Amino acid sequence: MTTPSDKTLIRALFAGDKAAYEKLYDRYAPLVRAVCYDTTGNLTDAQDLTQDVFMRAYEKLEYLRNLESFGKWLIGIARLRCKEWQRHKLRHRDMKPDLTNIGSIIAGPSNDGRIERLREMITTLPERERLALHTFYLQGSSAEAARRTMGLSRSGFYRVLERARKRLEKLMSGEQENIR
Amino acid sequence: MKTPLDNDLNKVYESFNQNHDQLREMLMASLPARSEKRKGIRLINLVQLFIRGDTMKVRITKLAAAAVIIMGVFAGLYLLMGPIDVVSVGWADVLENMEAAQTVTFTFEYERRYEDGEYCWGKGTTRIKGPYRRAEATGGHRYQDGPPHEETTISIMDLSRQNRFVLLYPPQKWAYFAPDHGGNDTLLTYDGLKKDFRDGTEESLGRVKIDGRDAICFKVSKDDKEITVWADPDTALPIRIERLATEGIDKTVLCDIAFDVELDDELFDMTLPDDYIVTNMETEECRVPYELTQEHLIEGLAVNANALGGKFPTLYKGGRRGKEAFEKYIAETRKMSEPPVEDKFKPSLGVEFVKRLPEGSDYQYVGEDVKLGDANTPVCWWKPPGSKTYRVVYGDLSIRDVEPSALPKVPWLTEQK
Repeated sequence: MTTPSDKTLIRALFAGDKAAYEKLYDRYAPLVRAVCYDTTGNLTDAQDLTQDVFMRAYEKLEYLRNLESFGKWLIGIARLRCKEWQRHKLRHRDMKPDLTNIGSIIAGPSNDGRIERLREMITTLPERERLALHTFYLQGSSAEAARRTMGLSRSGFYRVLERARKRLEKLMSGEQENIR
Repeated sequence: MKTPLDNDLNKVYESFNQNHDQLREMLMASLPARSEKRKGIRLINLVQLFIRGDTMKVRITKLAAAAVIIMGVFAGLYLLMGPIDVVSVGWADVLENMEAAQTVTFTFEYERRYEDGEYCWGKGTTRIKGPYRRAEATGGHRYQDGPPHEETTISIMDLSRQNRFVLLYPPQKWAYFAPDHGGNDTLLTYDGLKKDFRDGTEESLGRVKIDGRDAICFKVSKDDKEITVWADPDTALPIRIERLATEGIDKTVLCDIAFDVELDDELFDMTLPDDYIVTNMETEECRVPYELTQEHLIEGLAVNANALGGKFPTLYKGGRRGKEAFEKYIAETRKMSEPPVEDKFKPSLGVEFVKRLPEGSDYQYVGEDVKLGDANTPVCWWKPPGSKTYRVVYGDLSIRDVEPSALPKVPWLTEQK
């Protein structure tokens, strides 16, 4: 069975099929979480922001001109939302943590230190390279889907992805050296 | 084949699926019901229905017909002015395209008014390729009701070499060069837009027509600066950007913006032509491709005196010291009329001649307010190398060699000595 395109799903949603939005959520929510994580540095806040991004996208969806660019558009909203979050955080840096945070109730910490470090290192990469990794590894290692989400040519996408991987390898090997 | 890094990355990204199902359920439960269709589409359908006359073929009441007509008027407005709905393309999308472009070209126009009454303007073309910025511009400035000064320049900057910068004046074959930290606002306009408004406050102005094109218009503001952006609704590429700052006294307009066009590397070649006079902006050293003579000094003095309406300026690489003299000189420069293009740099060459006089030449400038053509009043003098006499330039630009004892007595000069 062919996977429905973003355009098909959005049209279905416009026609009243709310479940179509679930499919879009399944397709893009992990990617949006990863993008938000780059800003928040913690999964809990990233999950909260992602919920908000999808809420906003739902409200604004009828104004999206090019339905095929839903993924790219969603990342744009996520970026904006992250900027707001950063500004809010700066303004309220002395405030105590919000204990009503939904994500903190359901998210569990990762126990794998190496994986945790790798995740931290990804946040140090240039934005474009981070996004290449996110889109590739969160969209079933599909270069086609990832390059479409990023709005790049296939070769352009591979170039960025390769640069990101090399940089990560270097960072990780540097860390190994330090451990020894 | 998957590498160990692939495996690790897959593990990293697994964490972003944590609690996915619960989060999805929570989101879906909180979503409101949607209206079915897009406003624009509904209006278009009504218009089509009305134009086709289908509404008249079926039994409708006069009221319904009137309603359709009213809707038709709205739809007409829609067709004329574009959809009345809120727009999706925003500054973030435009900025993303600006960041992703490998090359950029645009035309620009600017005007600035400063508090001291100086007014600047200019227009030209900017080309950007990687770290290089190149602008070909004609620009000018004017102080209050003073005469306008305009010039044509080519400037190139290399951001990868700490803003290495060259500024060429092709008609005069003159160049300024900064090995690093060159400053040029016009060249950095585009970079400034990206940097200064990155997290600005955005206000949508809806869909408009600009240069015959459909566009989405929005304002982005930050601090006392504001830009208005017209962007293509489908590509999020900017069509026109206007920047206003400090309550509208600084305005820059960018248009004809094109991304990823082919640009020849030669456009960004910063090699200085051999036949140009080159001034190093850092050291103020001047490379002149020929020997300077006293004729250059005479020409420089003549250009300045003519630009001041027939009298010599207060200072010319020397002269009366003090704040009052300096301020008088600044006021004079603002009133100076624009010399012909070929004479523009002649005063600088005259100054350069003076700078190159050997030590002990005892150059003095006493030309303040001396009338051009006055054969009896000296304007400046110096002692040529090995000479016992002084070479004196008079107000009629004649030159005579004079014994030291015959030099005129200038009270302020005696005091300064």
